[in-house]
Amino acid sequence: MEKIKDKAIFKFITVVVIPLLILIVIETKMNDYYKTVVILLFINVILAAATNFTNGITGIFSLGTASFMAIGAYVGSLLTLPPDMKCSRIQGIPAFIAEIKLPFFAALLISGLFAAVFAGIIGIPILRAKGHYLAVITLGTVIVVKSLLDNLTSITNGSRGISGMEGYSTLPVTVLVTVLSLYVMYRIKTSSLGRGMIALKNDEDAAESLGISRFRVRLFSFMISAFFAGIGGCLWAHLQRSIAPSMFYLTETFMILEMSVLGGMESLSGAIPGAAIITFFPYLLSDFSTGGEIFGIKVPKINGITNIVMSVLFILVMIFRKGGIFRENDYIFDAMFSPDTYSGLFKKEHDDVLKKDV
Amino acid sequence: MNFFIAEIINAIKLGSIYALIAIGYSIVYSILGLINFAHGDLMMVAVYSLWVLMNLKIPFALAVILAVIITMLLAIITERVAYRPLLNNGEETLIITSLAVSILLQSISQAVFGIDNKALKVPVFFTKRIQIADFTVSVMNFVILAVTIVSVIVLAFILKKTRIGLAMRAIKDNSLAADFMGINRKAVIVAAFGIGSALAALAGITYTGEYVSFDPQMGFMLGIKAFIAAVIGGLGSITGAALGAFVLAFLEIFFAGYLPDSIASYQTVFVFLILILVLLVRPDGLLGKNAKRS
Amino acid sequence: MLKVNELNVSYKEIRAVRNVSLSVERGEIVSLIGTNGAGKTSVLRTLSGIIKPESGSIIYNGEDITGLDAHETVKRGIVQVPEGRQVFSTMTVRENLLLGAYLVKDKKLNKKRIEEIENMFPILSERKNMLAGKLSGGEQQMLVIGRALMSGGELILLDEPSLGLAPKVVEEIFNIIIKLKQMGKTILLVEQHAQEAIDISDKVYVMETGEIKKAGNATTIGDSEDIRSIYLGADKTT
Repeated sequence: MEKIKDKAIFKFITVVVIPLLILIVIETKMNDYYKTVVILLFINVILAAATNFTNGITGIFSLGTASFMAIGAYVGSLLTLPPDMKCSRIQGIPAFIAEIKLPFFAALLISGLFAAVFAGIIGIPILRAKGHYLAVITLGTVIVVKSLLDNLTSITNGSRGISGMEGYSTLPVTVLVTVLSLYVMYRIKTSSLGRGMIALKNDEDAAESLGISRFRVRLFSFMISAFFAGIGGCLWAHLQRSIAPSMFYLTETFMILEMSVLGGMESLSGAIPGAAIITFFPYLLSDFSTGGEIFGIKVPKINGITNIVMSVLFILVMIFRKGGIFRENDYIFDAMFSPDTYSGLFKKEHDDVLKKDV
Repeated sequence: MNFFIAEIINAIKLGSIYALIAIGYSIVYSILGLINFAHGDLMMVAVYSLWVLMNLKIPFALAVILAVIITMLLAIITERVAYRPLLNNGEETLIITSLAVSILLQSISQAVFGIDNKALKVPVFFTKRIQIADFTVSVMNFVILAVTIVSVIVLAFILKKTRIGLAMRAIKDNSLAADFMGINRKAVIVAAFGIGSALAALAGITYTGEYVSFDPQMGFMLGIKAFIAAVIGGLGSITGAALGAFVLAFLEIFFAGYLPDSIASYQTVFVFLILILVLLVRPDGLLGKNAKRS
Repeated sequence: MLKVNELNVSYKEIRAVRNVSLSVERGEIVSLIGTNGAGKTSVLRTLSGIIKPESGSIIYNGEDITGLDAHETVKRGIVQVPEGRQVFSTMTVRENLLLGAYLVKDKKLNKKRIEEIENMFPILSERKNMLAGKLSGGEQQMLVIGRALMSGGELILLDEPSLGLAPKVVEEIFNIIIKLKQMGKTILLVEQHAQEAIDISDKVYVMETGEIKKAGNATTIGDSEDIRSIYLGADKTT
């Protein structure tokens, strides 16, 4: 007897139909405030999945996702802003940058590519480093990128940042891009290349003896991760419509790491619960961080309450459930992206006949 | 010429402070193999403790001692609560946890004291300026250098002459053999955290004594820089950490002092380029042979 | 003195030791022989508390010491001389000896023991300020045996003391082991040089893939045909 949760129809309903219905309700019935939170959730899912791609799957422990996100956000914004707006807001912007104006999807793709190329360039020297060194150097890329954004004022407008982007990141657009991004990452993970990445993480020497090039696979993984972090950044910029270097710094780095670790670094699906916790949590605690009333009880304003609660939660997860919520299981995407889920809907009886024969 | 000498004085001052932090980093690293991201934040803890104690009208000298002790206790508690349960869970887990501890310390301090800068007023004695030839140098400068030198001497004594120091060196040299000797690693780890945090506390207090202003995030970047200094010198080596600290401080100060402003603002970029360069050319640092831990 | 019952140990998810039972009486030399990967080192490391057993019990001098940490077993008088010597290579010979007495807080006693050990191994006295990493293999082996004696332990677990040493030095090491017995120490020896080990032993256990296949005294084991062919034959050709 097949378990209910293994049935194609069950999978189809839980990972496709229900989420889709929820999204349709949100898109048509909810106000902009809630929509923004949900869009943010999807962007966070991309960022967390991109981080899991290197940190959990390939075993490159990187803290650099926020820097790739920043590059995506800036490149995307500079490409979609109208030339006159760029000229008036950014003092001394080079003409060739000011003159470009691309459609959103082209800008999105290019922003990912820029982030990937940047990752490739810095990856060549830094990916030789191991473990803890790599953690510090990639944290360094976050610090360095922020410093560049602060100082390259003729392109980035310095610490004041850039604003005025169109709100291209609507819910349907973001959902579409997220699903596509996750699909690509999932397919790479389950391909032979992906198995090479996992093999490298588990046993470097054994993997190399099988002819897997440690350096190439790691570099590739690092670039793919950066690509999607860049995409996430570009979406983010066109949701917030205003960006500044300080938004892609240590707080963001820590948030991304939290999403990745809480959901389960070794699972791409883990990005979903991880991002959900981190996205919604600050809203639940917002009364504390501004001061106000909860259940009729007056609470004082507590600075950084979200961070206090999150970091405690984080330490507890490390101690009691190191693998995060999903450990290394990819339940959601195994169901969502497997052809069986869809074909299974139509040839159910056929399967049963086969089973009887066996 | 005057500018040049003033820059050297600045570099020695900064290098001394980096050295205190970097040595603490190195000690914890060599025993535990942990890069403790929260190490820098211990400086902040010490400074806030001192500030509170001074506001309670406790005499300065006593307040400093108490602040150092509070910092040590806090470091030992974090080791007990957050790191010890994870000792066998792999280095990533420890790195992540130390980052969480760092954020936790910063946010608690924000919640309790607010996010604004505060100023630490040390007794006037320290801010007096002494005339040497054409220069005036504050007493604090000498204090900083003296604190560093005395700390290093005390530390060298502990490592060479005491039982716990012998055990620390044994674990760093060969942790398996140290187990066979009956060395209780947990106790030694506590000692390493105690010593490392005391040094960080002294660094935080001298740093703020000199530069006055402090805030909940003051320690993080300093901690990262001190880590880079430790790597430049050779992670795990005390002499290496001190050497790396001065190398980094001199490079930083002269980079900012002698290059045009448009380039000097990239100081942080430059610091990380040095780190990458060192890791490429001499992965074990200037003095390191082999850090023994992979 | 030492009684091990039904010990099971897994190492990195592989069962390295299965149902091993053995006993060592005071003053004996007991050796544990067997091919590489038979689980001998795992047995020793479990006894000294470096790795923890899954099940079974270890009784030492009437006390159950199963699962105690290494610093607890050393305190009770079990001391291990690890495989591959494991000197503290960046520390001096004298410091290495002092580390052996890490749990002994009586300074006079330590001084006395250092003298005794330096009498036994004069070379350690000559090189007391040299870094242990600079000693030859044979000298390092003496150093780690001396280091173990510093703890004042009664039961010495010797793991492959002759590994990688020249034949002449191997002979010397076996003489030292006999000397240890004469000093009243009890020895549990793991060895690849099976014949030499059997010759000096009161009791021999033969291990294979984690289990004890045979046990007996030196004569019965030394004479048994299959042991000769498997372990001793191989020994002679090398």
